[in-house]
Amino acid sequence: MDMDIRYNIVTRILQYGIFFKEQIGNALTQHEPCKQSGGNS
Amino acid sequence: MKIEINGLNINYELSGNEDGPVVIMSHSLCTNLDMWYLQMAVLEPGFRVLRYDTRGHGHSDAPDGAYTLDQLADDAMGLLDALGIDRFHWVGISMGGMIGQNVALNHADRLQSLVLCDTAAIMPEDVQPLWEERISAAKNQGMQPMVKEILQRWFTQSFLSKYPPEVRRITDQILETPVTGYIGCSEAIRRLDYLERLSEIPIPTLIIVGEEDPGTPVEASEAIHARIPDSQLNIIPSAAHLCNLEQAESFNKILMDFLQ
Repeated sequence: MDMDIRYNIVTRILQYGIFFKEQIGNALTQHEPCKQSGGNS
Repeated sequence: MKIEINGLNINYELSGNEDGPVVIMSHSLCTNLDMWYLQMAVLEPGFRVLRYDTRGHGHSDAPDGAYTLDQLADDAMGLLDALGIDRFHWVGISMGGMIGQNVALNHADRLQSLVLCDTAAIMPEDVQPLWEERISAAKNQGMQPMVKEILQRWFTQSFLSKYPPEVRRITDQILETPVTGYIGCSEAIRRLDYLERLSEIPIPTLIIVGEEDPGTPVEASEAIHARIPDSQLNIIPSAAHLCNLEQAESFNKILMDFLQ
């Protein structure tokens, strides 16, 4: 597989996958008061 | 133009309809007042638009040391006072939204409305080491090594590959940010803790977030929305952190519908 394509696939998985969001963003998502607010939008 | 506020030179631009209501625009960490360039065409015909460089950014002074959100809000209020502006709409993205929350909590009587874009109201304890890492990296290596990682947080991969001129414009802003300003403002952001006070904000509030924002995710905006009584939340698809640039048309429509 072309390196660029492989890089893009990996990047998309990292960006939107379940393994890694962004560390601060992930912490906010897991932060209990934020979690409890979900669904109120 | 520059004006001395709280002992610092603060750079600003005031443009648009001189008879219109004032909208103050507060940018994110590592950008400057230019980051609102795609909003100007829709705002200027009907509004007096005040854009400014937060201390530590753009052409404003960047003193050494840790800043606080109180200081950043005091700078903005000092600028408004110096320009004789009593009432205003606040539009802030990311750090600018954090400063906006401070202004709304302390000066609600002067706010006509509040717009919070891709922001958060708290920095949990477990992210403190990450901020320490970022601050340490900037101190030791400058802004250049952080550019790629920042851009990947701010834009979707699709936008990064399709719009090089826009990405270049933001890249330049990141690189032009003084290290002292990055560190000073990071110290302010990492101490963000307004979440449980947001119910005190009595003014109409619009919350906007990119659906794919990895840094201040939708959940952070939902938490803000759940606490500010008179608030509405808009989630913009196909956008990451700087949704005002990535989906400018959608962003502008949501913003104008709210302000008008």
